[in-house]
Amino acid sequence: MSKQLHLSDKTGEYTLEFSRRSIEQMERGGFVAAHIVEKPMTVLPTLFAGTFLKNHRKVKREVIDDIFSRLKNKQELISRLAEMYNEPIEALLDEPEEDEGNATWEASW
Amino acid sequence: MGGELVTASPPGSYAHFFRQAFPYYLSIGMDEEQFWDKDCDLTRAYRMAQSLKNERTNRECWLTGCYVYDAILSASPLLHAFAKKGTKAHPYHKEPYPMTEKPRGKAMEEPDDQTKENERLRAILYFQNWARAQEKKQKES
Repeated sequence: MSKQLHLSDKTGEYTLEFSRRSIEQMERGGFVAAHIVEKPMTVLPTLFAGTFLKNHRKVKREVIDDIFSRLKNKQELISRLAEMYNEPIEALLDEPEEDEGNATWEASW
Repeated sequence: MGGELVTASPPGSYAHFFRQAFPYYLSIGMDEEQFWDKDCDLTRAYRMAQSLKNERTNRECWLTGCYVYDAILSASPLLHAFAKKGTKAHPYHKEPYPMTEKPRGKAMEEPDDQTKENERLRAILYFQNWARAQEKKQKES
């Protein structure tokens, strides 16, 4: 099951997620995930708007931007969006098989 | 829609990677809509299903090899260059190899009529031989 965000707002209920096609459309529209560090003010709302493409294509950009501006806990939201954005590509990659030679990693936060 | 499938996307972009992977998933039975629009996790299930399918095909090939091997062994007396006249082939399996424990167990529980008859004759022979041996012993002593 793909990762989804369920969003409740005065404008409606939304199920936000990415598909490969929505990512492809975003990239065709000029979205580059790597620009998130250089231009966060433009890239993050675009990333958020991209989650509407799969299930809520008809919602206008102004409405999406308004919702984004009113969202709380953006730091957490951004990391979730990044996970969601990466999921379609991760689902194409095989996990390395368990064996003693694999490198391991651990997060400190 | 067809146009989207051939539109070039810059190398390194996610779309480029998707396009590279797309033919493989088509080849293992995923359709265009499932790949591009549906749950992106489906690709994992398709890969796993393909791996099971490969394993099954491999087992089927191996099983065919076993049957061929058995057939050659059964016919081997006839293949001997200096076989005596009237040599017969060994009988080939009457049934396929049992695939599950159930038919295997069933075969052990219920011997067929021929097997029962063979068992009966074998028992009679054993007791006749035993009685003959006892008689011989008594005469000697």
